[in-house]
Amino acid sequence: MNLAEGRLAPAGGGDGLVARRPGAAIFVAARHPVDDVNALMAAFSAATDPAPGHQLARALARIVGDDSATGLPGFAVVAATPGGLYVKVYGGVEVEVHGAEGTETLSGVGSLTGVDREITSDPHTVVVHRAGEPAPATAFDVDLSAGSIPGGGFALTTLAGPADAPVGPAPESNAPDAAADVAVEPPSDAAMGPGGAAAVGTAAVEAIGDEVTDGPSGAMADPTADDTMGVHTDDAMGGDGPNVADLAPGSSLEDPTQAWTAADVAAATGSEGPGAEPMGDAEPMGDAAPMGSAEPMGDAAPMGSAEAEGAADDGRDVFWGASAAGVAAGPPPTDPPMVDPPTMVGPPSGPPGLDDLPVVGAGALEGNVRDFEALPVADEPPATSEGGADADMESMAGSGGAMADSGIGGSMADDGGMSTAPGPADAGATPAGDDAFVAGIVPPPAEEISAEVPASPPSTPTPESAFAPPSGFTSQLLGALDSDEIDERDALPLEPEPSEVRQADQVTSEVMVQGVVCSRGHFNDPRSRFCSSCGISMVQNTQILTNGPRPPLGVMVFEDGSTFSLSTDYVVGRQPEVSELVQQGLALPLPVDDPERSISRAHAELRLVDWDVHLVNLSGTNGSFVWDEHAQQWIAIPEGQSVMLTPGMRVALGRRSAVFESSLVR
Amino acid sequence: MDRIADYQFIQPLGQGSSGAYYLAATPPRLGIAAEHVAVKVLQVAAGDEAFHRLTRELRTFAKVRSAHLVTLYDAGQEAGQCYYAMEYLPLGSLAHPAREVTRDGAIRAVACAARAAHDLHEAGMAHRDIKPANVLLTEDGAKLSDLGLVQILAPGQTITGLGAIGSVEYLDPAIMRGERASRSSDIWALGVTLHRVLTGHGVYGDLPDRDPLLAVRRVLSSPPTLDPGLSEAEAAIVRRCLDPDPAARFRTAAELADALDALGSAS
Repeated sequence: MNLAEGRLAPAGGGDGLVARRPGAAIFVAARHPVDDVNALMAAFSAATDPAPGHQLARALARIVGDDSATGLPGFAVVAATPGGLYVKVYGGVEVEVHGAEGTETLSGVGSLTGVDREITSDPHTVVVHRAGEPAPATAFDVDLSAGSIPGGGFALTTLAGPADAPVGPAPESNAPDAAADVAVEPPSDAAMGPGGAAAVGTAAVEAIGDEVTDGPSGAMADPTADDTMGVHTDDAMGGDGPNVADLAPGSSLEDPTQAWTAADVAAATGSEGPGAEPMGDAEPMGDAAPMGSAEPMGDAAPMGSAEAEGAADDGRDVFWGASAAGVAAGPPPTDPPMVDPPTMVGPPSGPPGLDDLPVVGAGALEGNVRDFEALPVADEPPATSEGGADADMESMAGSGGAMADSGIGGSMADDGGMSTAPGPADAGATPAGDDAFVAGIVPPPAEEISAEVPASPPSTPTPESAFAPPSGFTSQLLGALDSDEIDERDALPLEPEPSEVRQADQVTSEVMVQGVVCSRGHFNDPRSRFCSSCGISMVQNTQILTNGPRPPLGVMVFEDGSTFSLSTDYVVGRQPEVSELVQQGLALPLPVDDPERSISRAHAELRLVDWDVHLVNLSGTNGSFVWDEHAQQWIAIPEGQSVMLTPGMRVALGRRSAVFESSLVR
Repeated sequence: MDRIADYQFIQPLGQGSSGAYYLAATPPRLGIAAEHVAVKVLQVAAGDEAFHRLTRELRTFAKVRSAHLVTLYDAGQEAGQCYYAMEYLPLGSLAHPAREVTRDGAIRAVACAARAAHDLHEAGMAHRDIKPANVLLTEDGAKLSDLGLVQILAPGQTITGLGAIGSVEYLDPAIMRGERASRSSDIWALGVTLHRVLTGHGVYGDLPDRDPLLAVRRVLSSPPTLDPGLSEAEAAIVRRCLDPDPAARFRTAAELADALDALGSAS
């Protein structure tokens, strides 16, 4: 296999790391201990030979043989050699090598120094995953061509299409679903307006195009393929959008689970198994022409082949396709459990009103998506041909942030009581060294760097704030502290002032608002009928407005139970520190994530205005939604716009959901 | 995990609201006689600032002189993970006692926890996370362990989403809303703890374990109700701890402890 031409699809599971360079790929099964991971990544990026197999073999042997590397995580490396392919696997990781002669599995399990081999039989696909976990699916339109990304393994293939791919993961989700899932979306997208519909059109056409690829029309790349795509995408949007809106949006919205399954993303990125069957299904689709006409399908066919053109192009198609699917996958995320637990169980059957669409029977969907790990797709459709690279950057920045997080410690050095225990406190592993680990592989362009800088902790580590050295830690003995030492506090007040009772805990910026005071002196929302502190009725009170510090306005409760006090503005997202509001101290970061990356870095803002909480949607991709109890449907908030939350209202951010609870107005 | 810093773990002791506890061999550098210590490893990845706030909070806690507070030995971090080590008490907690606890023993244990809370309050701290699992039993009473750290590690957050969701039932709804912790919010938690250990039930009925959203909603929206299994004197104490008006609760946790002691000696 020519490794440099292979397509690498990282597998979901954010706690490992996948990195790629032209002649080699590595998977490290954990991101701790940091120093061992660093050593592996350093060896990987130092092997610059076009066929670095031998170079890497020696370097990895040194790392594995190093006494100090006691916690070395499992890893696997695949690298080109002049005569074939070098594979090394260590720890709880397995490598499957698929070739014309069959499949060979190398496992690091049970070996003390790992297993390595030079493979000369010219395999076409190499799949790397943690031992005991399902092998990731081969994907033909996803390619990490360079850089690093969090992941749970990878599948690397030189095959052009799924026809002769290894059959392994296919049963989990098969190609017909691609058509079914994507085609099913439009109604649920209706709420998103034209933009959403456009995305749906694109996703549908792309997915179909991919399937057709390995059919008879899967010819050579057609330079006009993209244009053709564009035209028909418009057709699809124009012709389909309105119909879609007619299709009883409410009813399809009730079953959002399906629209948000990981398989949708996977389906639209064409990561499915054998393609024999999908062909048959794709044709009727063209005939019935619900998506515009039959031609788009045929014309779109070259799309798939066009992927062979090169990584950059590929990247664009891929990530656009993937993110389009994300959007198409639709607004209403998994229903919050409290409302309709049964929908959590599995994909629902097809929504009513779509029966006339020639999609694959929705029954085929059932049960085939549960174990599927989503591919980590980029959040936003890259607008330029650097798309693929952008996505790489973002992932790298992600790991960068994570690593930076681990680099705490240092600032404690100036704290009198701190000592740096056993390990050498040398600056050998400086933050810079760490940066090299993440960024060294593909240096991001300058503007990317500046955009990412805020992601690191606000207080810049001092020079002596070295990474914890191997087997090193910082510690502070608490056993014999002088009672007159720092930070002597006053006793808590015996009888707090009634006006202070409701004040927010630890919020530095106090916001004054107008309110009314109950007969016991507690400050309340002027609309309240009962005091929210002591419950006393305020109906009889003369409504005299006075100024006072605003108490917390309620809480946001996420579906895992994590709860945030609405005592200040928040930016909610995967990396909310990138937001200017957070950097300027005007909002607190509220980090949420999901393994499928449906959350943008700064996804939404919770903004307190007087006595009300507003949800501002900042995400152009996966969107923010509120549940309209009256209409029984999710309402998309246009980007940059906001909705005022009412107590009990459910909100959805990407696939995460939360409820606004407040007892202030009753 | 089998170790952190120079603590070699012997066995896991359980999961708390912001991390996991382990029994570990005492490293010689602590200079203490006990063979074992309990180590809590925080699950939340803490940045510089959060770690600084954490150690400051733990130092303040460690300085409080109280016969009823668990002794802290050491706080630190390794590779981005924070931990702290404290006294290991083998008799278990009110939530998971190593041996059966009598009614009097339970009341005495809650009284000890109330005295510990009072000592914290006098030192300017609120505990924020009083619940049966944090009342560790000793031969002659109990010691109050741990501290609510969520707002230290993640400002603005009031419930971590880790650990058992059931622990929300001990939280004064005011704290859940993010209001300032006070003597009265810890007194609330002591009241719910007392109710739980005497009756086996929470004051919101059985909260749905699998549905944190519903559990939080119920705590925020429904008034607590008392189990009929309480004696009149016990019910009076619990009711006073849970008064919606903080000013109507016991003025101090020490007053609550006195009331509990009187209850114990009366029965």
